[in-house]
Amino acid sequence: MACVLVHTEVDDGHPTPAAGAVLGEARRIASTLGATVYALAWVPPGDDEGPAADALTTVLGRGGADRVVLVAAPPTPRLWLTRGQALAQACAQLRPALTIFASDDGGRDLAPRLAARLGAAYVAEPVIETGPRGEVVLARPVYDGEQWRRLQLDELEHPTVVTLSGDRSLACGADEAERVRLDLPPASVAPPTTERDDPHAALAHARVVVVAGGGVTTTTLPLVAALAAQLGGELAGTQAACQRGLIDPERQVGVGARSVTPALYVVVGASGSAAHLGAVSPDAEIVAVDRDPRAPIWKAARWGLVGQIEALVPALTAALGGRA
Amino acid sequence: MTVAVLLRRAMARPGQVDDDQVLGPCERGALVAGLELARALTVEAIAIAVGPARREERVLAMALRAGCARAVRVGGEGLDELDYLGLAEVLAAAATSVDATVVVCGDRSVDERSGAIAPAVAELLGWPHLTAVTELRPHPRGLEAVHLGGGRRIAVQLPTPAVIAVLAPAVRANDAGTSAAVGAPASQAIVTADPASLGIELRRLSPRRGLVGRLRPLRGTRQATVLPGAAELVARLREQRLVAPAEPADAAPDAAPDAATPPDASQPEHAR
Repeated sequence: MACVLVHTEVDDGHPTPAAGAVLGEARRIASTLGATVYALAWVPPGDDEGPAADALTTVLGRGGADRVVLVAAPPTPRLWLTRGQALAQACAQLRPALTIFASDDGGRDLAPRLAARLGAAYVAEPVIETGPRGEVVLARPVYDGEQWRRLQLDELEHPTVVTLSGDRSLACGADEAERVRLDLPPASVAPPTTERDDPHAALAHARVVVVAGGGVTTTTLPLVAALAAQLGGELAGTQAACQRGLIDPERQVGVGARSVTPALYVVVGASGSAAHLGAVSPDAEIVAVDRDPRAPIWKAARWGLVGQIEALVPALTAALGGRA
Repeated sequence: MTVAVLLRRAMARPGQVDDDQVLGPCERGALVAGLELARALTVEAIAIAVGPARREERVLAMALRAGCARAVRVGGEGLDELDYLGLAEVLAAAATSVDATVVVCGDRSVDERSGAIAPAVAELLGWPHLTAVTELRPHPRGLEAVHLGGGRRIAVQLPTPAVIAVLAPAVRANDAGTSAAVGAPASQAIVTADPASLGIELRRLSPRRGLVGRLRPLRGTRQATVLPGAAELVARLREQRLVAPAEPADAAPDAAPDAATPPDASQPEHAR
């Protein structure tokens, strides 16, 4: 039976929210393909055996895994430099047809290198579609969202490696998973590193992001910030807003700047360029507030308001129950 | 030691260049970081691009003007149809041909955004790689690169040779932006290579063309639903559970002024 391998990050004995969501999606895909789901989970040394391992195996089984492989690894950065050897060895033994990573910083470093090692097809952050015959199709928008690349899994003669954004529903089962032991090399010795906190890290995982574009001014920025606060979201900026000093450049959303995976992405006064929206998860629902009804943002947004920012944004804040 | 900078022209559509930008944000970051590293190491930076002359020579000319010592374009039929690994094989061979010891490239392109090239080139060369790099400098052990990951900025020391994938250069507030296209006009020629001269047999790579995926235009013209007012928008968001439900005493949606006004596109509010 084909194997679907899920790279699973664990935090405090449970899969991270993104890992849990990706495991749920893997369960749905594997059920369509008739495949077995292996969760390969990275745990602190000592937690790969005993009660902690049993408890995690149970959690992962309920989350969609049929089999669980636990790899003991010190808390090093999640990079190919530290994990690649063990990951590649696990794939050499399990020979997965499909390997899935959460599309976070670690997944984006590990997944393409593993794909190259396996000679696999690689698809970053696709939308999962099911065709009329039940076939699984990986589709992703490219070229400013005007074209889609579509890859049908059952047509491939190569293994496939995929990264998925974490905004997905969890699998909720009662199945027991079986723990499997593989003969893996220890995680590599970490290269010398020094770390410092990223004060803007919450932006990457925020459920709601409100972004100010070039149409926002010093006068209207407080209105946009109040909307973000009312939504319980994070405030960010496009390149235009950051260049003008309205938003801290560390909070710029764009390709090569910050990537975000919110459920709701509110765009105020931004045109919606490819360099901006390319950093927003395709699963995000985009809401636009802009005065230009011909801006490209309207091709990406689901809903929106056309008009003056200084009138619409306070109205939206008030409609949400806040003080405009 | 030589620093190879892998570049690619931003594309608006397949086979169609983007008139608004020659380089994507990450490619600009790669060019800036590659040149700064080469200067710090007092070695040559060599720009490499794959694709037809009409598309890639402008990129390479920009790299030469910015300070690259040489530029190499790999051209040939069928190169645009390769998947990430086929393209990486060509790039790895080109980097080898210039005796690169550090390969710097953009973390992801603005059009395809897969972020696979740097790790794949590293795999083919058998070198370590690091993605999402915001700073790059020499270190007594090789390189020190700052990786943005897991809510932290992590300075990682890597041995050389290595492949580094760079994010966009930092935007400077109250500045018109950074540009790599500075320096004296380029007098150096762009060297053209074909895959065969790099030891690449394109026929062997052709099966990988099936792994790119079929390109299809978006069916119909997608267009947002423009709602008449804020209350209607909030109602939609609540239906979809994207925002918290209204509290019982919350009369705000009805009280919210309907501020949507007919657009006046003749009076642009801002430069986009």
